[in-house]
Amino acid sequence: MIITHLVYDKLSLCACSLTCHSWYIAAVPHLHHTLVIDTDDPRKRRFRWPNLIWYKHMLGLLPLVKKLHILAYISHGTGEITPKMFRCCTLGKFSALTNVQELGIDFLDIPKFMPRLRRYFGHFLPTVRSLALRSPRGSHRQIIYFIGLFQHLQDLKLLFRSFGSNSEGEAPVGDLTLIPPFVPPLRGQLTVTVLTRVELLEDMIGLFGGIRFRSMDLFCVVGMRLLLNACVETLETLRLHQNDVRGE
Amino acid sequence: MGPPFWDFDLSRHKSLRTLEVLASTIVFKEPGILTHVLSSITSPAFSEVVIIYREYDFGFIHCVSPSMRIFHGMSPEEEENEALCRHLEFGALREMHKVRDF
Repeated sequence: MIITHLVYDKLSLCACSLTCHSWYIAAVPHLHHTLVIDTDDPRKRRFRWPNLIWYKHMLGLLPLVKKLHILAYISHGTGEITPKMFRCCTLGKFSALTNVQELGIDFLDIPKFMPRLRRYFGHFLPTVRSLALRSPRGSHRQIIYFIGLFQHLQDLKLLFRSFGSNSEGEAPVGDLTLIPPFVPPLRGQLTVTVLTRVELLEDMIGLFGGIRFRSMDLFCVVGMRLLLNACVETLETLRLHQNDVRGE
Repeated sequence: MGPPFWDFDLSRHKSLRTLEVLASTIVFKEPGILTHVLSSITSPAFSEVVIIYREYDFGFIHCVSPSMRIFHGMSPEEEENEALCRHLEFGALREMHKVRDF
């Protein structure tokens, strides 16, 4: 339908959705394809976590979301993404995001979600194909465990802002026994920036039985050789920079 | 001090088609990277080298914000610096051409 050609023109899509029922049905998936939730949006309370989730849930729009990005800013004092953010009925509404294919989460505090990661993120697992983690918190085993939950994962972004944000802290007891539940295919694109945790890469390659990315964006990565050697058979495109600064 | 980030070779990557680097990387941050990496590539499919220039690679554009750009003339010192930058860039590209004929 011609409405698909208006995918980048939100105002026109809005106008189409008000025309008639059939146009609404055609336009609304494009309008709600991407959801960016700011945990500290200074503009309006409506756009802030969890209000936007509640609002979209009330209108039954959450199943239409294909791309979700949860923004957080450590410097603004909002802190990491933790289970505290899912209090009251928020988790139930958050679970209505059942068709997300691209998931991005900033400052995810993985240890605080352990061992009940599936309770919070289980609804994403069958559909997510692309995962972007910006400065995730946790040991390298915990990060790999989280990645290994996504059984159909093709693209992976591990984005750290500074060498300081790579600090892992002390590994918890039993950390070495953490085995990822699935081995994701990981055949698409890998983006890694400002990474010094070579053990994270070594364990990821070891626990997933190798990686098979076709494209890599690598910027300031210690252990670049390790990644390149792991994709000898499959690598087609190598970018020695961060192609997409915002990681979108 | 650890090894440089580009301490690797691509001689075993037989399906490699494209290599992308930033212009600022090959001139200032890691001079020699392009020559080093290109000389190691043996892939028969390799056909594309992309060198990316960004606005800040051109000294005469000062971006205050994406919507507001200030263009101004250069002082003799700035012109000299600009000429030096271009000289280094062309030098890097000449080196690239020596390693591999495109």
